[in-house]
Amino acid sequence: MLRKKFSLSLLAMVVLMALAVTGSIPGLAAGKPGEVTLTLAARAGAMGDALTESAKRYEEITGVKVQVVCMPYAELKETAVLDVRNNAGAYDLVMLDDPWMPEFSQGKLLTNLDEYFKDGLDDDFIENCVALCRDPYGKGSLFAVPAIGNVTMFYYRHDLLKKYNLSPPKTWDDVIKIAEIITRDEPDTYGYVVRGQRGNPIVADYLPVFWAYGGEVLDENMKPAVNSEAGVKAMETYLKLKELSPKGCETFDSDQIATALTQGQIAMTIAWPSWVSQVDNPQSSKVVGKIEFLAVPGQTKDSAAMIGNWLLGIPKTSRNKDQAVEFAKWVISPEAQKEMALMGGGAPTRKSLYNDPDLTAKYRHYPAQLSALEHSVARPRTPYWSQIEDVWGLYLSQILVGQIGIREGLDKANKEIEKILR
Amino acid sequence: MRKAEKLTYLFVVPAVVVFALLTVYPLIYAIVTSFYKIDFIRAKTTFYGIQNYVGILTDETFWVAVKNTLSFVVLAVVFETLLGTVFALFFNSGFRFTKLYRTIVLVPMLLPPITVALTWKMMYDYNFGIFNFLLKTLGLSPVEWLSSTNWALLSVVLTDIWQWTPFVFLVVLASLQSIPLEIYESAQVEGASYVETLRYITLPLLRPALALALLLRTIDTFRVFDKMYTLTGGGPGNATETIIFYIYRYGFRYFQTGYAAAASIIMVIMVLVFSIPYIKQVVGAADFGRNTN
Repeated sequence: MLRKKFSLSLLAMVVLMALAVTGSIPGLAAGKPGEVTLTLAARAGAMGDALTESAKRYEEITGVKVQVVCMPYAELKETAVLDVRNNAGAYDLVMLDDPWMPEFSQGKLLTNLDEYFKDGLDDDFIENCVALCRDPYGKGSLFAVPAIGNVTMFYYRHDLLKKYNLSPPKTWDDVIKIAEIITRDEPDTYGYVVRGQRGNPIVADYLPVFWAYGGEVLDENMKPAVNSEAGVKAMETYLKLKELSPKGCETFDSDQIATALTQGQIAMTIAWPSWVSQVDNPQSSKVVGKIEFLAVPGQTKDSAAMIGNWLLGIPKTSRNKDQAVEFAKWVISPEAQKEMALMGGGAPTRKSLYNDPDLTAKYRHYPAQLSALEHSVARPRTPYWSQIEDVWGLYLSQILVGQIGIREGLDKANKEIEKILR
Repeated sequence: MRKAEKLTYLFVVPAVVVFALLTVYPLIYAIVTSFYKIDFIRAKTTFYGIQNYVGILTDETFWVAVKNTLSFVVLAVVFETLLGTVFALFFNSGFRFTKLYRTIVLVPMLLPPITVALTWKMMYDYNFGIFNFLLKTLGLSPVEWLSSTNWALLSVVLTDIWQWTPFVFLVVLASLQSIPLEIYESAQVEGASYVETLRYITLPLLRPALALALLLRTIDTFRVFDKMYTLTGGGPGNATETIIFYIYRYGFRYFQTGYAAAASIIMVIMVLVFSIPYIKQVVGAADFGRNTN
């Protein structure tokens, strides 16, 4: 009896070990010599899922297998940096958030793609998207290709504005006026919502307001100016917007904004189209057909939508560069972009697709999104952006929750950013 | 005799090798790294002396992180130990279905911290969370669990208490069950009350177990990261910024490896200072055991 038990557990152990060995060495499992498998590090979520599907199609057509490894935002950057710096060469392609570009190309982590795209990218691509892929911005060599064309847009409930006889806002003053009326008169509804979580979220949410007041993060001498008069005015407006937001907005990130919007809790907000593809889905949205889209309001300056593209780069340490470039070309082809957009996993970077009848039928905001992309502004092009954003975001959050005054907080932020750039 | 001694050393060798490779070497490497200014992305390394340490110790945010970490450690460890001990005494009194309840009590500890944090984040939600729903049903005003600077740290502490009280419970219960019943019987014969047996028999005999639980929980709460990362992201403002979060930001967001290493060394020193009293307790107890046998 005991022996039988023993041999059974021995058997189980052997099986487990065999599984562990084959599982941990995917290269071996993939098999035949001479055959390449490309590995792509992607942002987890709808985009990663769509890329996985797209990679399957690519394998059907070309026979080249592409393994898509999905990971969360922060981990993606860590993985890409460590992979190149440790000379691991585990990834042939990586998805990059566009503000990382200066850091990555100046750190020489990416393959220069000029020789693969001798004539650059074709004219169908939106200029602002291609500019992000070059270093220096817009003029230099091509280090990535634009895969996903995200840009911030202003979302508002046109049914509520109509009900109170209000016209869509053109400036942030208008936004506050409308938000005050709706917060006061419409039951259980707030006029606005800020995305107040410390770090990247609050910076991305505050920047369009800052720009609208004429603020510049770095002046022409690359000196920080976040404590300028524009910065103070923008923050005063931002605090007023917070007062008109649902409670708890100090820790809101994209999920909470999307929930507030689709549950009919708020009347206006800035959002990225990729989070809010659900506004017209009757299963998850209470506001089907009630949302309209605008360019982001201006104030002393014209409106400025913030661009935030996902790019596809090839790490310097990749051992299959030629095949990786071929796959990158596939991802940005009209067919693949359209398929990914239809799956809800992407926004095209090609002009023609924003007027594609299949796509506009599914996403009525596409023409507005194209115009937003064409008039968008990029975040500052500095290799220190990650750190600047984090420090700035810390002080913005402290001001938002009242731990520190506006002027004092912005002065401190500016001093810290100076230290970073030194 | 001598041969046996040699053999003893031979058996210790694997442990020493593993310890040297995985603990001693990285520690020395980290200390060396902490004296360099390293920009990992651009692969630039320059000798920086004690500048990293000066930078950290003069950084306001670092001291906020220290204050938050200490509050977190003290609150979490004290409440986990108290609650864990009370639970253990309760379960040790032996009523029906003890085993079933014991298993249920242990469940939080078995869950991955990220899962716990995400679930609690939903429960803490101001507008849609269950806590505020319950408060409103009771006619009380809702609380800004994660978005108020007064509450955020306490909310994270509460989550940690929920998850790790079972650990203290388990350690204390094991120790309770090893106390021989005869001692209690003779105390009863002498006419001791429950409080007296608790005060003069149970608690003194639990001391080694309590010290161990305190030591492990202190070290562990010092390193708390996933809960802050998921629940609050260090915010609002700097209300839940902890030392580990600070190190993470410099190490893995800005890739300033030298600076992050220096901050880690400072933290290791603090953990050591904090846990020396416990370590003395635990080691002392172990010595005591050896002498009597």
